[in-house]
Amino acid sequence: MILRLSAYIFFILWVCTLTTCSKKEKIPFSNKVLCTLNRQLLDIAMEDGFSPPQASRVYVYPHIGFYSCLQSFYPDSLFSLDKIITNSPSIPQPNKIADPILSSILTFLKISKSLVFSEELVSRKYDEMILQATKNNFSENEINESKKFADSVSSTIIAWIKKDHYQQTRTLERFTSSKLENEWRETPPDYSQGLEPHWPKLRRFYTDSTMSFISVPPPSYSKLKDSEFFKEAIGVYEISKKLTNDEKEIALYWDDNPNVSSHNAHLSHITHKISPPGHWLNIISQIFNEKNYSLFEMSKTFTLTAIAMYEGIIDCWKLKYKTQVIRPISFIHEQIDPEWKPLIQTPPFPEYTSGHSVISAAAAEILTYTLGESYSFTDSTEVLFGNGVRTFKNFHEAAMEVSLSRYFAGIHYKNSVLNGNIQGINIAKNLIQKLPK
Amino acid sequence: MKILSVLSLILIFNINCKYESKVNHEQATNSLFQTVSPQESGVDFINSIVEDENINYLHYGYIYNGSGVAVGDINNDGLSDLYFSSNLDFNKLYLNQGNFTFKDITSAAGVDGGAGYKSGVSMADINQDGWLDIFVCKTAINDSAYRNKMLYINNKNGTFTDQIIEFGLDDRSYTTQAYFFDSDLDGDLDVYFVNHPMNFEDNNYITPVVQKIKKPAKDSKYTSDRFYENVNGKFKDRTKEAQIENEAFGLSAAIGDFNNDHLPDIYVANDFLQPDYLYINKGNNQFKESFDQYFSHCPFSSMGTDYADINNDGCLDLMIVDMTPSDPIRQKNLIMTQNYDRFQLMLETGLKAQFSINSLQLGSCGHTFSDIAFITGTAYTDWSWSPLIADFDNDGLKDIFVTNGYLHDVMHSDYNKFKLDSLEKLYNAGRITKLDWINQMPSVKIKDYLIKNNGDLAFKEVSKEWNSGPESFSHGAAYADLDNDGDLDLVICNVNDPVTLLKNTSSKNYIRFQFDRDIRNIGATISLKSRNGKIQISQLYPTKGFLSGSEEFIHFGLGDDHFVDTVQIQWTDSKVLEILSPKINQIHYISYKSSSKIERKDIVIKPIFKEINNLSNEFTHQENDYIDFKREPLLLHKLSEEGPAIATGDINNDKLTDIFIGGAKSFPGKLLIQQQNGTFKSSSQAIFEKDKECEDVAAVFFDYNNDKLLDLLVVSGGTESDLESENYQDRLYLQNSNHQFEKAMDVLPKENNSGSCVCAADFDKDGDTDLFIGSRSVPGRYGERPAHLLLINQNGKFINEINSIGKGLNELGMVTDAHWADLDNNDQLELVVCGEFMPISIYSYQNNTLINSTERFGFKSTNGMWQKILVDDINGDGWMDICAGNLGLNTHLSASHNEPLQLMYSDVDKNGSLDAILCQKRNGKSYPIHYRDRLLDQMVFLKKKFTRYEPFSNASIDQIFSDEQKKAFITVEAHSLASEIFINNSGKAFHSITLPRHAQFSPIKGMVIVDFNNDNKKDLITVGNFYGTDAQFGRYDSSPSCLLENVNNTGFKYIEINKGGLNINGDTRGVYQIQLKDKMAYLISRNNSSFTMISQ
Repeated sequence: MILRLSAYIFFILWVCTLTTCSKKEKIPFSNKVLCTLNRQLLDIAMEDGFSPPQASRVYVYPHIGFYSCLQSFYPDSLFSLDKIITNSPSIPQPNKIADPILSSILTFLKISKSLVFSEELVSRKYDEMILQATKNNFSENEINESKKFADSVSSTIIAWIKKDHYQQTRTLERFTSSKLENEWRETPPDYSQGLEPHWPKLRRFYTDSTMSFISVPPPSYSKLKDSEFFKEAIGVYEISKKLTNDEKEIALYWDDNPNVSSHNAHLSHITHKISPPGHWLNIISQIFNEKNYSLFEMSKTFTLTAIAMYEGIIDCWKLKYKTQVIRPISFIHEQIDPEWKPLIQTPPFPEYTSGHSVISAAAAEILTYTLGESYSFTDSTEVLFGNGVRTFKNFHEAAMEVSLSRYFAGIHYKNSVLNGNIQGINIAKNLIQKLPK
Repeated sequence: MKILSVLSLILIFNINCKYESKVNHEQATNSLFQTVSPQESGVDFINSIVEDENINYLHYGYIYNGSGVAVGDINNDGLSDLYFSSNLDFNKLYLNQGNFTFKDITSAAGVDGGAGYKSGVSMADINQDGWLDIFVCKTAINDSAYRNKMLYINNKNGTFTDQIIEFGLDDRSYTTQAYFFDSDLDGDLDVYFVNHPMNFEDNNYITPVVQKIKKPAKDSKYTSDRFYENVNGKFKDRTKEAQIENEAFGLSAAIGDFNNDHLPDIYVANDFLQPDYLYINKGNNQFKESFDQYFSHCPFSSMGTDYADINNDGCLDLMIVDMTPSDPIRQKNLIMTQNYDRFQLMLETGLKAQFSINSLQLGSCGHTFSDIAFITGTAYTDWSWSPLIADFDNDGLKDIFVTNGYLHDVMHSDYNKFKLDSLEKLYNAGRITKLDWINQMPSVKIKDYLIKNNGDLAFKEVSKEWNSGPESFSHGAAYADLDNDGDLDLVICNVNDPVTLLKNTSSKNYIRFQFDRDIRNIGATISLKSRNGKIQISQLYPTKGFLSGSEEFIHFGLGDDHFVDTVQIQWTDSKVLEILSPKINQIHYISYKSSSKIERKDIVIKPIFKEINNLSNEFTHQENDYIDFKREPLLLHKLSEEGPAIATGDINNDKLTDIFIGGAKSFPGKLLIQQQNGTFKSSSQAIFEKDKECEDVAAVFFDYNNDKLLDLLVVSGGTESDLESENYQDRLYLQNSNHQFEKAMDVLPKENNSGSCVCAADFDKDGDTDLFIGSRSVPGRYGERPAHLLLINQNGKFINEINSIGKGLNELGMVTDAHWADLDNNDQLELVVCGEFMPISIYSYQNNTLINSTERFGFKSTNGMWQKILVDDINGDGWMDICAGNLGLNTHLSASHNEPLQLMYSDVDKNGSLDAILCQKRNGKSYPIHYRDRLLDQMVFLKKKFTRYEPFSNASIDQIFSDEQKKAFITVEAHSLASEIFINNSGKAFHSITLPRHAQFSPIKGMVIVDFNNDNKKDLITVGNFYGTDAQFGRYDSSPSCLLENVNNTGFKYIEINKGGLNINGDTRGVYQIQLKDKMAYLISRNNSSFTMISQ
């Protein structure tokens, strides 16, 4: 018995010596880890069913966290976000032991956890990352110090997030439509109330809320056949009748509705898709997964794009609830054809301008700035949702396709998708101007 | 004397015999029903639904609806035989061989139904040869070749021949069930087909154009309901002429007389968005849709129906079942959540108020129906199909049987909001098949419901005690006395399980009637009168429930009665047969041809009250659109629809009552002066227009300045304005000699309480009028105790003494009504106050303060959801009694001392908005009443805790909140929801008398004393409904107002609509006594609608 015990002790001692003394070389995290983190965040946000505005908020802060943490280690390689974000928090100084990438990863995850509903999914990723670090021969001390630093960066940022007025908007009155003929009303098949009417009250990162990024107002409501408004509506109706297969594919491809409902008798189920801003973040992921870029380039691209899209949605939502433009489905049902159906489900908020057009144009403008003018890419985000892959010559081509997709799909008027595109470009340009040269 | 004793001896002997013969059964099992196994009975039929890639739920949304059974004696041997439809396989016919044994004779009889998807089945003697024929409906398959209905004509030798073409009924529509009845009373059977369209994806689209009934699609040949007239034995399509074209997902119909004109009408129960239809028979096979005239709402997903007299008042009552589970945990997982915007849109577009709740519509012989599902405990019976109303325990009271179940819980929120999504992605990736996708859906077998009628509209679920059979997915069902032992057995069709046969072992007395199969039997009504005057009625329409037909007998349980006084048989023409003292415990065979008949005599009763048409359209209240739930998602009901405020008084001293009608926000008040001829003329008052932004909720005329002219105080309330808004300021208007009103400035203190009531009296006896003005709520913060006003008139100025004289009043809570009255005859007024989540509260004026005397008068434990009080000496004993209107018992809420209704409030998440959680206490734990989505919308932080529905569904408040969060909650409770009269025991204490059941159908919002029978006893009219609910749990629209007769000053008796004449429906809110020149009249006010005036 004693013999057996001592043999056991000896064995343990031997194992200990083996692990501590014969120190293996530390394997650093691959740059691609940021793509993985991004994708995991998109998946969790999709599972939680965040609406496009909420999703844009859930995406942007973890990327800001990653960038800020990394920047604090390499202030010479990355500019500080306080150059563009007004009232951004001051990030603590890193200690010498903490690993920059691990710290940034953990910051990303800590902030993600504070924003999503399914916290345990993020916690699992956090544990996986720690395990990975151990496997990669990070020292315990290094890991602990990285954790500590990530805690301090993320708590600084979370405290700052809490001041973005999001919580206050949760207590405000939900939207009641005016029931006026010329204003937006709830749309079939679910007749959900207007989504996030108070979103414009959220804190902006860099734009001035009094600024206007699109100067053209929507055409005013009219039932007269020769009015501009009626023409817009009949345009949607007519194109829907003669869509080519390619146009149909485009419309379905860019649906990106995080909560599509389908009805079949008493079965009404929700399909969760990646939201519009999530789709663009996934495009970035795919590019970085395929080609080699520095982590600095990667984080900067993710973060700036996420910031521009977040800002774009706030600006777009301000316009939506200010103009209260009626959706094509309501107008067409009431004035043209009561049986008409759009190709995809109409999301529950006013029409002008098209949100997807705004954020896509904003993303395309940022990506053109960071990755180049004629950057061809292939997107396979939609395979998960039963669609194919699409290849684009450049980012702006993709953004314009998004705009047209909303028109083909029958959920937006043409003027709204074109103006949304301009709005998005202007919002992104406004950000690019602020960037240190 | 001698004869009598002999008679009673025989009687006793008889009872003993019967009793003994049944004892053995009772020893074998205690339950009323015994399950007879397929091995014992030989009924081995199973309706198998095996889905594959081609036929499954995703292709046909009604594939889990199950099959039906028709019961009838096909070989005229006196035993009821069984015919089952099989959705995907062949139908089966079983011949009853007695003693609960059956023989499958399908092949020999040639009635397998052929190919196609078979749905409803029925038996009827369609060719009137004295032998039952069989009718089979088909649906589901797109190819019309497979939708060939079958009319199996009985060859009188155990075989049948399909003669659908010969009879002109080769109709290929998608048919759920066929209803054979004599529509035009010409002595032959016509037929109505309940059909449905196939666009299961579009059933949630609300067409924007306001229309009563959705117009049928361009080609509605196969989808609209159809009507065929029998012309000399051949059926002719009269769908268009009958005006029953529609496009609804019809699942059943109830045939019977709804408007008391003896013509059979058709109530069609429709699934999904389309409301149910009531086609009133106008004669000559023409129908008029008249739902609104008789009903205030219907189930959202109406399924099976039955139409029978549930309360033995001689009027037929209608049950329509829906699909909400009664188990609170299942309910929270499987509920169809209501969206208020959609609900409102449905009302606007003529789709009517529909709720996912069973309806038990209490009839009143041609007047309106009152849904009493909640008060009878029949509102939720899970995914229900066949309701069958029949007297199963033979006690003379009809009970209720409901089948239920659905092969897959397609409504399970975790499945359809999360699981299905991941499955869909796996499917897109080609990793699973569609069938895997379906098979992952939860599948839970549940019990069928047996509900026993205990009389006086009280019911008790006895599924276990009586044995409702094994848990299964049950659909069609029928009742019949299969073994001719004088009680009703049950046949229940199940999906993927053998048919359930339940043998009834009742030992009580009965009487049964069978008609000769000649003309005039289908639709005949039998009414039975017992010696003590009790009546029972029953009408013969065997096709009922769902996809099924019950026996073609009329069966009455007699309980312990040994004698029947009279039986009256009314045939479908105007002929009547009366049988005196028929023998009991046997079947009586009735023949139309060979019996002597007399002409039917309709007794016309002159109602006590009638409507008088002296009201102009000024007598209308218009409510502003405001959805309180947008600000407070957890609110139980709106607080912005409390009007109209009504004040009555004689403005011009002409001894005639004049009326002030307050306006809702944005609508001015109106003053209506009574003319000598009893009409009213609007008096123009500029000041009302100026103050129209106030929501008027209460008003009183009183002479403020002792100038012998009435002045007007109007209380402002509602929740539409901001907390600090001037719109909540109450107003005092002084009348000048020209009868013009002017606002008194600086008389009332500045305040912004959202008020509810005002009562005026000189309680401090200083010679001027003082006021108590109660408050309803703190706008946007329901639950919190609002401040009230105690206004003491001091030299013409009202001073708020709520913090001094009225100090105790601050603890009151959410007040709805108040009165001054001397309760202990000490010449000193008490203040009587009622409200929500508070007791009837009494304050006595002592030593210059109002002292809380609630406990002293015995009201300490009277916490309720009180709406209205009336203080009067009801029993004439010289002491003031209190009539108190509560929420009523016809509600999804319940409250008792042990299991109270609770409201817990606190700003849990410290975000500035008050979280007021309505809870039901159950087994010592408090559970939120609201469903997950609603609660999480108010408290976003819980979204992290409850990412799925299952964990929330059984979470009590203890599990939802941390100890620290719970500590912050303030809890108020209600222990009773019944409206009561509190009788004053000589000023020392009160004892309560609960008002009759009919007065509990809705909240009582108004009461007035009348003496309609001139017996110098105080009778009562109660009115009240409330439409401002959040629409998830129904709305209060079941009271047609109530006339209650004072019986010897000891209690009240409900006077039926036919006699009382009170059939005043809608969102009624108050009743006011109006002195006309020659008589007393009563004004009934409505919210957002016109008013009604009645008099004797």
